[in-house]
Amino acid sequence: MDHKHDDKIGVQKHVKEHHKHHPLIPLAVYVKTLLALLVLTIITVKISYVDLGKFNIVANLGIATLKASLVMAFFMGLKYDTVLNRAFILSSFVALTILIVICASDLWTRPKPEPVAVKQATSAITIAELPKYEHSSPELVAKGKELFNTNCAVCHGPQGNGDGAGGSSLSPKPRNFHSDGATWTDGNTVQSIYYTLAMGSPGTGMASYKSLLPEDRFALLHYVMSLEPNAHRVGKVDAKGEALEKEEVAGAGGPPKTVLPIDFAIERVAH
Amino acid sequence: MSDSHAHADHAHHFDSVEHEFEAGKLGMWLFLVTEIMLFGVFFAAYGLFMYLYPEMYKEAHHHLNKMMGAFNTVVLLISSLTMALSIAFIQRNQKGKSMAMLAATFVCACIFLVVKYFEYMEKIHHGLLPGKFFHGEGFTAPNAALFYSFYFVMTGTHGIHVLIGMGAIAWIMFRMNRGDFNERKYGAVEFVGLYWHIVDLIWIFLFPLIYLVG
Repeated sequence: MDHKHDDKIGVQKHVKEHHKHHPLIPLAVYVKTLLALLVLTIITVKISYVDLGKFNIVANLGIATLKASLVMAFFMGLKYDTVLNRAFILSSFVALTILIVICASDLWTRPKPEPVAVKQATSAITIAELPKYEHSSPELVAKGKELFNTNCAVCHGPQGNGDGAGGSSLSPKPRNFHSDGATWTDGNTVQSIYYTLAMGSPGTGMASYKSLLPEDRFALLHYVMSLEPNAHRVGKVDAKGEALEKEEVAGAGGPPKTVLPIDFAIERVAH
Repeated sequence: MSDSHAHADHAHHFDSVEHEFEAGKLGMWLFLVTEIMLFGVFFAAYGLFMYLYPEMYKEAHHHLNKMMGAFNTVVLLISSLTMALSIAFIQRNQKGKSMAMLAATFVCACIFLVVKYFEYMEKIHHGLLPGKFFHGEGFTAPNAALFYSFYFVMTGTHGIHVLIGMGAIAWIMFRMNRGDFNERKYGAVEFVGLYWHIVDLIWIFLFPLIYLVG
């Protein structure tokens, strides 16, 4: 290391003066900061696999803010920096908060783009006919296969192997209907699958298919059940599924259901 | 840069090297404020549309690779540590170690961009593209193209920042090699470091908001 031509005492004085403004932070502080950041990253990823409703986003943002604070305080050295620099960076967050609050207050005080009332073709089933649909028949399976090809095959694959092009980038992957029936999230009885079709599967790419008629959903589930290699049935949400069947069928012919958001409906009309 | 600093270690319009350092740092923080405002507007718009189309966001984000995103988060966090250590070492006049840490930061940036490249290729392959270019299959919620518009604009702008950061780190390494820096005079290293931490900080928010919304 070659030194400058200043005399040694001069350099030491300067360095001392300099470190008064820029204290040497022990290296361990930086390493501990990284460890804390890594732990927080693991927590935030773990939380994302648990469905906490609105709390997910709160937790994510809270952890991100904590991580950002650690980076700013220790890596960027704001903890040891001048009041002026701290005020600068704080001002940007204040400005951002004002921006978000004003935009959000505008949005919140308007009516949310309401799902528009789209007249859904009414179900032809009555409560008395329900048992007919709860039991499989070759007609139902054949109709279900047709519906599967138009609605499900894009993700679940044309043979139901879970290998459709639309699902290849999904995480978790779409279900392979030829796999063990015990691995269904909500169970694989008629009522359970009916419930899954109506509600979707939270935390996955499986959406709600309430836009399909109840009788179509029965046909679909019988087709899907026919693909399974073993007839082992587990009913994890049977009660919920049964209640839903009754409610939807009894509501048949009632007021139009609101299922589609407005812009999607306009697109539909335009076609 | 002339080699006049053999005699004067600070530019002639500053009183001292400390004066130059403090002025430069204030300027850097001011620039970082504008960076936060730039990305802040993206985040605000992204959040407002999340409020309008929560179902669409949920469905669309399942097509992102959480594990790749988490991996890149770890890579950037480590790069932030190596950047901070590089400054800590130059403050202790350990130029060799400081250089090594800068090189490690540069390598982390490369890894980040390589992972990002594979993620982009997968999205393009599946037609998960912004606006009118979108032709993804199997979506039940409408307007999924909007999510991918945000995805590409936000991660793309961030990616450009990573590239610029790599250029800045390379420049600092060149200057350190030339002998421009010592324990008293390391302003440019510190400022590039601040910029690099902001790049990390933005990703800290991008990752949970885009990859983990559902």
